[in-house]
Amino acid sequence: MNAEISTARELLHRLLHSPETRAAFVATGPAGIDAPDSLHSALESIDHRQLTATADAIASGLIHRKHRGSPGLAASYSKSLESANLTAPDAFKEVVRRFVGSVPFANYREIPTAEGKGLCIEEAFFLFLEEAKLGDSETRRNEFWTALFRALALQPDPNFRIPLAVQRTWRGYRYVAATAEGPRLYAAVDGRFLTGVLTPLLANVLATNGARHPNGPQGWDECAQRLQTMGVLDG
Amino acid sequence: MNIRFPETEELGLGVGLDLRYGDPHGFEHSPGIGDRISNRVPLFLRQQAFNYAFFSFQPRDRSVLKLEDYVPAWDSLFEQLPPLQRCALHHTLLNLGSLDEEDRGPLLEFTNQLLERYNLAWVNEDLGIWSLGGRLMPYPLPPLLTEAGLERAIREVTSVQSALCRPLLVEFPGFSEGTNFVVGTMNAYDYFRILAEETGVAVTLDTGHLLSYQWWLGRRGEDLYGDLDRLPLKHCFEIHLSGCEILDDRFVDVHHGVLRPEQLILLERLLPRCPHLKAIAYEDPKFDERGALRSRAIPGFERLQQLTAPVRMSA
Repeated sequence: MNAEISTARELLHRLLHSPETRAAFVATGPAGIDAPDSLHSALESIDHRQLTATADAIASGLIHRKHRGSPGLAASYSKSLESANLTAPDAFKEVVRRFVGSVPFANYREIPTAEGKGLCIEEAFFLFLEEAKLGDSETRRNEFWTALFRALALQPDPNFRIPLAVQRTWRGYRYVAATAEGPRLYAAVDGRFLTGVLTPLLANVLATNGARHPNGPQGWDECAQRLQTMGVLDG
Repeated sequence: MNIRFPETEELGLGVGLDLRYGDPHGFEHSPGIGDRISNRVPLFLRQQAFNYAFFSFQPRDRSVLKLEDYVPAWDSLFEQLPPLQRCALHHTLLNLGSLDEEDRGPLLEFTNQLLERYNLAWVNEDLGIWSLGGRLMPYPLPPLLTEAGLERAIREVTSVQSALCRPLLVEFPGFSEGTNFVVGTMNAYDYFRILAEETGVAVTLDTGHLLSYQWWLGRRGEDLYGDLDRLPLKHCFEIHLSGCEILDDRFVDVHHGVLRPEQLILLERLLPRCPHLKAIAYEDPKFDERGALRSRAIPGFERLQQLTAPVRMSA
């Protein structure tokens, strides 16, 4: 019985998220999606029109869904989508449909399950854009870290998985990205989102967690002090 | 098997409100103040004579659930409620028709804290697939209508019921067309009755959900009210009525507060058939900023008040 449930779960996932699986199912029925005989009669009861409408509603929900501190995928990734000429409603809808059928989407979880927390929607969409190489790489990365840290600023104990590269501090989170303009800090501290390009010294202080070098350069302590005051470095 | 009913007197007519965040019919956020119940909610409740209320839980954000995050908003609601005989919780996260392996420990702990703090008399949720693999469905899908699906649902309901500090009321799921489809061939009334009998759980019958099932089966007219004796009528503690519409020959559970005549006819037929019925809720009414019910909803609501008056008088 449990095997049947787990197979049904897997098939439902594919039917809802993969346009190819849906097309095969509509054309040839349960046999077309390698469903076991035990589930044929249950799957034959599915109304194809309703299945398609539900799948469309899932994509549409992703397009319109906003979370506290997050304005939605189109706004969060507006520059990446613009650089890939994907801001027109139909083009964006098509991108989201492709996203729903992707591996990163399968790793996204709005609610933790027994398997634990999953990716947040912002990270899943970013990984999808990366894989599809949609838009400019540096813009994508900047938009992702911005969206993630904005979310963390308001939800410091999130129900989604935080990327391993993000460092926890006493008052929040930080990450320093290498960008063309220099090391850029992204931080979520005391409910606020912070970002800015760091001087090489500030970046060094953060990289060493403020540990003072015996022959540390001039201004090290002042930098550490400043970062501690901002809340991105623990004292 | 004994049925685990909420311990309460007869309640008659109540109301159900879906308390979403950032919604004028739920909680509103103000900078510097935080989340508070929208002014129109208590205004509406004070203008009506409801005996009880249930509130649908909605997550505030994507944080791990913690009671302290919800206390300011929920306290503001309870501080402004008119006198009510009972309050209850309509859950949205239990996922009783789940096909996933669930770890509900933290969710159930949070739920019990909410129940205790606000002295909520029961917890209700539709028997449906609310999420699949941790991703929410646009509208809960009915559970898998197969023998294996029923066995799983019995397991899930038994497990949740045993962990809650108040009785669980399982609600017959919706078959609303548009964002919903059915997997399996078992009759949903039989499925629901067997589940209730096997678990001893009390149930909620939603008139829109029942009609949507009959509509989905292709029934029309008088046939919409057929097969009622296949339902777990002895387990029925509560009936819900939310706004429904028929659009392009599709039965849609829109929750806009405008009751269809078929819902009220079905209520009339259920009233004498449910010996343990104690509560009837007008679910998700829509009202303006002064708390006045939308004019389109008034005829149906007045008929509902008439139908439940004898019940209310005996309370």
